[in-house]
Amino acid sequence: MIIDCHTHLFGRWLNLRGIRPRDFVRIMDETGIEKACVFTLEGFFDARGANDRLLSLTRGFEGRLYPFATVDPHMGDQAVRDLRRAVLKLGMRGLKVHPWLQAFSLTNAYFLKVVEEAIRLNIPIIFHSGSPPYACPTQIGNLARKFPEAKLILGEAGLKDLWLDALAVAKKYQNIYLCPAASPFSAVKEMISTIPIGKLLFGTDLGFSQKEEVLLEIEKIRLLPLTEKERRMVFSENIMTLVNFDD
Amino acid sequence: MDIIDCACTLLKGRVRELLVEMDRHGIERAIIAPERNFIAVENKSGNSYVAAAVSHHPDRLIGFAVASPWYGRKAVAELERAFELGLSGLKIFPAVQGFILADPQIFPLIEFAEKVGWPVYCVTGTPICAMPLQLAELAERYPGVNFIMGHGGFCDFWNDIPDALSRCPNLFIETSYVLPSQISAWIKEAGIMKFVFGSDFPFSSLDLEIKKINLLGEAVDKQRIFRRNILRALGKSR
Repeated sequence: MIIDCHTHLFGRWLNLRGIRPRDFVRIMDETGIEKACVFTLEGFFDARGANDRLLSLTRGFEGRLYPFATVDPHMGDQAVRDLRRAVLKLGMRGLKVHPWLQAFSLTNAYFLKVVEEAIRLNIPIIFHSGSPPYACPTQIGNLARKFPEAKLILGEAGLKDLWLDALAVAKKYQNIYLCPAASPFSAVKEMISTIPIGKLLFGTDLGFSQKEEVLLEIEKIRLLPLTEKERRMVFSENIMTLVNFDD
Repeated sequence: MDIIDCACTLLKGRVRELLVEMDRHGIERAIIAPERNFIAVENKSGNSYVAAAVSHHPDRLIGFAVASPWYGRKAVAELERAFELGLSGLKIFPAVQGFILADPQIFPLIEFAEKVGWPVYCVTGTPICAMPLQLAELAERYPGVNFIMGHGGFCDFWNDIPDALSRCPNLFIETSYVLPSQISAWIKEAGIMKFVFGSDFPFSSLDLEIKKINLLGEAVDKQRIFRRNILRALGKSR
């Protein structure tokens, strides 16, 4: 089974048009992805109403699409209330933030309250990572140090320039996990040989990317020198320890 | 077997491995440059081992020289030596060599490239020092030099790419790391003539980088990306 833990469902952002749910699930069928954690696309620019819109897009695709909330720390305490509502009332499974696009620092006091709430709600937080000045792996590492109980996932695992930082913080902090979508192949090879395999997750960024990228990301994991058991862990078992996929 | 891969690193002593990989993937020729420590400091030995590989396999390998601009006049002298040894272009790597593209200390190296007709390959994508529009400024300053935007500005500069390419007739973009859906979009905006295939072997996967280009739509002329455009960028230096 393959679970894609990093995707963006339909929405619009500038000239980028996301993928509609029906087409999205068709791509999942064609590429062998059983379940996907889906995030907003436009909600990083205006979070108001984004969680409700995302939830309504997943209707009819229960068991395939698992929505993650986003919140805007610029809205102060409203961000905490939005997260509670998204998880407790809308049934969302995690939190996605994109500190670069959302333009907030990971030391933002309101965001720290959001992290505390995520711990109480027992949900993981997935971050875009690899883009200065707000989305660097060491900034997420700093957060991991403050909140050892938070489950923190580095989407993109530091990208091309900062993957060494991603690797270092994943080694140092037990609560950091890496989702190396779009990371260099040699970087992922280094990751599997230096951090516990239980910390690696599979994700494609579908929505920002397209079907072609999904095929390439699956191929990337297949090309890695892993045992079948380890490959199963990366493709699905590891993320199942972090996200509640119960229907 | 007719692909030209314009972005390979030759690890010291690993020529055989590179040639085997090239054969396995149908790469006719590869542009090679030394590995990182030789780009940062040991330029001379880096250029020498690349030149030795090229002289043993002139039909398969094209060598690009490196020189840290911090060496000043000695950097240009090293490029002259590399030219005599048969290297065919200049590779610059601002993030590793520690300079920003607007720094005048890089100008004498570019002027040398212009004098001998070398293209300049620049690794891009790192904020502060190696952004696509910084390279566009350099390309506008030296319209007689062909520049190749290494790794296509990956990852965060996608908004700047079409303008950078359109502004500079002498600027090409290399495809490693860039997502195929992004390449397709940029081809529509900037034209296919700008795109040259590079794998960043051995850091990215040659398998995946080739597969990626083949996944581009039917309408995309892959031959241009895999071969014809880089021959144009290389000009007389090949």
